[in-house]
Amino acid sequence: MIHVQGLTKRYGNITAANDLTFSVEAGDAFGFIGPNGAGKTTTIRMLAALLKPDEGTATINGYDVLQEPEGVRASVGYMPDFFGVYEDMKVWEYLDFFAAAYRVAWRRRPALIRDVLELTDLSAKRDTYVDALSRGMKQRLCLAKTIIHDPDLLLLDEPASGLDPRARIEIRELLQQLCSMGKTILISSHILPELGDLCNKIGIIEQGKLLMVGAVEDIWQQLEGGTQLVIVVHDRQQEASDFLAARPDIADVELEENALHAVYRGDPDAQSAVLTALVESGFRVTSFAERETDLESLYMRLTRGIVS
Amino acid sequence: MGRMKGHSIVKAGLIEDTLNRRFHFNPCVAVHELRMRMRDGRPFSVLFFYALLAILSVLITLAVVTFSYSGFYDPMTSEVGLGRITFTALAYAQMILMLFVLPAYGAGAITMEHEKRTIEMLRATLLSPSDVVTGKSLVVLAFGALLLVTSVPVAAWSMMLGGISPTDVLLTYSYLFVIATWASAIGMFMSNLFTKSITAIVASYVVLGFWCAGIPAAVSIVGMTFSQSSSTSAAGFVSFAFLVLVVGIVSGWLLFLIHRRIWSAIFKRAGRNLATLVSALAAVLLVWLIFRGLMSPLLGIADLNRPESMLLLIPYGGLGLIIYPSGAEAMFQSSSAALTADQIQLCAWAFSAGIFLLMALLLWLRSIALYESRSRTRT
Ligand SMILES: Nc1ncnc2c1ncn2[C@@H]1O[C@H](COP(=O)(O)OP(=O)(O)O)[C@@H](O)[C@H]1O
Ligand SMILES: [Mg+2]
Repeated sequence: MIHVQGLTKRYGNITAANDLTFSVEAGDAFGFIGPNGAGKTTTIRMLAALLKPDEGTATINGYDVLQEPEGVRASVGYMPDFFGVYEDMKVWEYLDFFAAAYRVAWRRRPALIRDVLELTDLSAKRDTYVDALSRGMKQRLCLAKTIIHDPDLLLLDEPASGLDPRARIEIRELLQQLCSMGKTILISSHILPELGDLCNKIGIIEQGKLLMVGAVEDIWQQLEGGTQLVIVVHDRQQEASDFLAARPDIADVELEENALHAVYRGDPDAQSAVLTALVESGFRVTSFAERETDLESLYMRLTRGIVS
Repeated sequence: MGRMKGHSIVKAGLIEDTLNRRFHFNPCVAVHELRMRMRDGRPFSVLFFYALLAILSVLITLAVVTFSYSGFYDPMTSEVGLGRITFTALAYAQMILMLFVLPAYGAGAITMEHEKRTIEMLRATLLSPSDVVTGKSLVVLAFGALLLVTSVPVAAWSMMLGGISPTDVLLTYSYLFVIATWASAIGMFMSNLFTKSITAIVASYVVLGFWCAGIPAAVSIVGMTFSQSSSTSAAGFVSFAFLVLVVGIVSGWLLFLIHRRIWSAIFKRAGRNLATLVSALAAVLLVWLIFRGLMSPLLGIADLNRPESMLLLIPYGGLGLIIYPSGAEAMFQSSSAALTADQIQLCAWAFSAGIFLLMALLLWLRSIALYESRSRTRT
């Protein structure tokens, strides 16, 4: 869906995007993570054919961003990081304008507007003025306009920034729904947990450089060389910790607030052997679980040492 | 009721289809702009004050003319009808009002998108630069037309006072509309050049002020300097040279744009330098041919080597010559056949309106080119 090769953009002596190479396949939810000023917006704008790259190529849906911007625009729904809404404009008029601007035929527009309003839970606001909407609603409306021409790919630049927790969750649920509808999504954020449940692939960008890119689990495996286990025992925690550390298939045990964090390096199918061994040795195990792939700690581990 | 609404939606939709297919013009920007600008009768306060000021200026003129027993107008003996005088006041009042309102209206068109942070999303759509610039220009023009229409009753009343013919009214109104086009094109151009509304508005006023006051001042200063040394009408020559310059620049630009669209498409990238050279030569040749072929018959009609010819370049000068064609008599009477007053009026209209329309066309094309270049590289 997206193929980027050596993409570079310079502003004076700042290299906002430095030799980026990655690809996103159809159906992926790609998380683009990096702190403020890392070059996320610059990259996304180049992908949306809004900014000319200095070097490198990018193709979207087979269209080259430089040669065929029309094709790119038709296949992409773009949501900028900062955006405003028109004053004196009703919600349906706003969507009607963007639908027409994407050449959706007038006969199809009313039904389409109804559908996207329903999807973004704004049906009740159809005749409300756009600038009277709350921030979260404006964000959802912008998402509605982003999908109005049924693009295959959504480029979303920090869609949840500046929202309260509730609105954040609403946006995330909406994005999950869009994922399940088969849209390819590229979403940027400087806040990691935001992308947690959503993305199957991430790219970490820092000062214009892509530090790492790949499937979330792959990156974990690469970093830890194993699966993270979280084990809670009722008592004798220190003994359990020593017991685990003695096993050859366990590396790196840490005791944090009564929970044992261990890395399992053995055969993934034989993981339960660890539990069996614990129980047989008389430890009262109350919980034994694989740790949720936590992007935040992943990010911290990744950037540790690389970024100073 | 519901059926009526359905019908009008279908009709609007069919118009949209036709514009899209036949003219490759997406009218949604114009519709969008109309929805925003005309909402809740907002422009009607402007219309109201416009009409009020226009009527006031007429009434004041009428009062001054009829109640002051000064020598300069006596309704019993004057050949100029009272209607013509009130109509003149109306036309000038409208021109001044429009020169204030429309540039500001046009200057906000694109800068507003920057200020509201909507420009990025607009550029990400499938709208072409022409869709955006033309759509917005059309709405500004529609507003100009609306302003003109509100004053029609006053014009009709002037006609009843006598001394003014329907042709006069028609020519004056069409001329005013051309000036409206020109003024809003200046605003639109500035709107594409700058990103802040206030800068664009100030720049439009500066340019308009320079055009309407600075040029006549400069020409007359040059003229005075010259006329002391020679007996020929140097001011006329200067203004004629200026006119040639304007027409030359405008046609040069048009050719450049044609070159960009057509020649560079033919030669693609490889022969770009060659294409530039060839088209530059072609442009020179064409401009020369146009001047030989097109201008010389025009020059046969008009003696642009006279001081009055400068008036054709200035909005209020052109308006004066249209309402009082006798002022242009010397300019157009030098040709072989004697022209009637009506023909002189038509000539003055054609020359002046033609120049302003040409400038508006140039500004429109430049605005589109500016929008296009901005959307591909910067911000
Ligand atoms: N128009 C611009 N002119 C100059 N520098 C810019 C411009 N846009 C972005 N930058 C710089 O490029 C870098 C990357 O910015 P950006 O892509 O907006 O980062 P992010 O979206 O990740 O926060 C920053 O250092 C920023 O200052
Ligand atoms: Mg950003």
